[in-house]
Amino acid sequence: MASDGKRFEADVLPHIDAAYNLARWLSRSATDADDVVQDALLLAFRNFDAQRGPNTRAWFLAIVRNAFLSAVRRAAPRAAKTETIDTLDATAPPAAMVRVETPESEAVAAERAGSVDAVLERLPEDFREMLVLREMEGLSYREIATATGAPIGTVMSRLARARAAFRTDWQRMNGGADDVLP
Amino acid sequence: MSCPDPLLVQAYADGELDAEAVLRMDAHLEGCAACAKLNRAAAAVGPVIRAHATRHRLSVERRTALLAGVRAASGAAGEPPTQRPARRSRAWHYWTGTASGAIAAGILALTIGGLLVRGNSDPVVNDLVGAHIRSLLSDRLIDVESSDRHTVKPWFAGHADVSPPVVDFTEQNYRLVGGRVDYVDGRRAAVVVYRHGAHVINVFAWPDSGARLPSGLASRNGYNLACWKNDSVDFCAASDAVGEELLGLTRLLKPLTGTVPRE
Repeated sequence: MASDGKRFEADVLPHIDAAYNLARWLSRSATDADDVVQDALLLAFRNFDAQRGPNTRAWFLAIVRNAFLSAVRRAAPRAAKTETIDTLDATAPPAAMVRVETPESEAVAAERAGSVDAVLERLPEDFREMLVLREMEGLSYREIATATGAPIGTVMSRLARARAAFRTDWQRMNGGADDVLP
Repeated sequence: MSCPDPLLVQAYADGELDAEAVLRMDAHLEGCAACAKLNRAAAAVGPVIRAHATRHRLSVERRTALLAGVRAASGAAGEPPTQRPARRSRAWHYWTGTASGAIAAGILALTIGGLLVRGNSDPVVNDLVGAHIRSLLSDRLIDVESSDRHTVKPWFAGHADVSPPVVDFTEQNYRLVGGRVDYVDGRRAAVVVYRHGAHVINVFAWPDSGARLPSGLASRNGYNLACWKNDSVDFCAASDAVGEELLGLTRLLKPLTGTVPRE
């Protein structure tokens, strides 16, 4: 028992920062992210070994993601319908048009309006998740496929559209500057 | 000349193509401005996000509380359920499931097998990844903390079996933070520790013991390894940074490590 606990700690805990970062970007709330990571840790512990794939980080991040989706469903069973980006037309209005309510003062909001954080926060969840997993956490395509439960082909196309959406929104929020992102 | 699928260009930018496909893409990008632009565009977003987006961290208090919770659960819940045969079959479904999903998506079905950096189960790789993980878990990341090469380098002489080059690459975004000694392949390895954005990169150096090193980029358990060797010393850089970021550091280091002797 003790050795299993140790093995769990050695294998899973190194990924707790990645887990929290993902939970935080998905939920856009520090308290929610904290709860999600707590749920995920317990789920991961219970299913350790029985369901673990060959890649612990991707496996654990998949649990984090599911814990987040369950929390969303618990909180708002009716409103939990998540956007399915893959069915959207590429010419649909950009994500920046969707206003996301975040609890911050107008001054802070104004200062952050053109920041990378602000652009990311306003992207649809599927896109935000892709950019967090790939660009911040450095997961491979295969790991992202495991973490999100999507086929690799879907991961690749969603990542491409996430980058395009980020670029468009970022350039719009920064006055159309075209020099930083070639 | 017909252009490759734009997603393949992106996979090239992401370091997800195998060596042969990389060569073909290199050749194509030489002569195709449109695809070269796609490549630059795909590669440009990551650095902006890594440089400016917040990588959220748990506070020390919350982290400690969460760990305590896990430990309490692991003591109270008894042995986690272990079903080794089930795990094996799940792993099998995991891989085949992923592959068939990709084919169903109808994209790149023929190249998908060669897309990804392969896993590796060499004992040395286990040592390296284990040492890297331990360094992140405990306070043992750094034995000698300094961004001054003249502090770190002499320290190795008395503590490790090799004395690797210690250079700060802050300008290239690989900041030297210190050094450490660790065990790899039964030898006292010198570990030079760098920070690259939010990532820690451990660069191990130890006397060549004849062990086979993974060539190119190897991936295990979510960590990337890039290894190389000279006549008498083996080197491996380990990190959870993206493979291409890891290779950026090894490209800086390799010219300096050609003639590092054993101590």
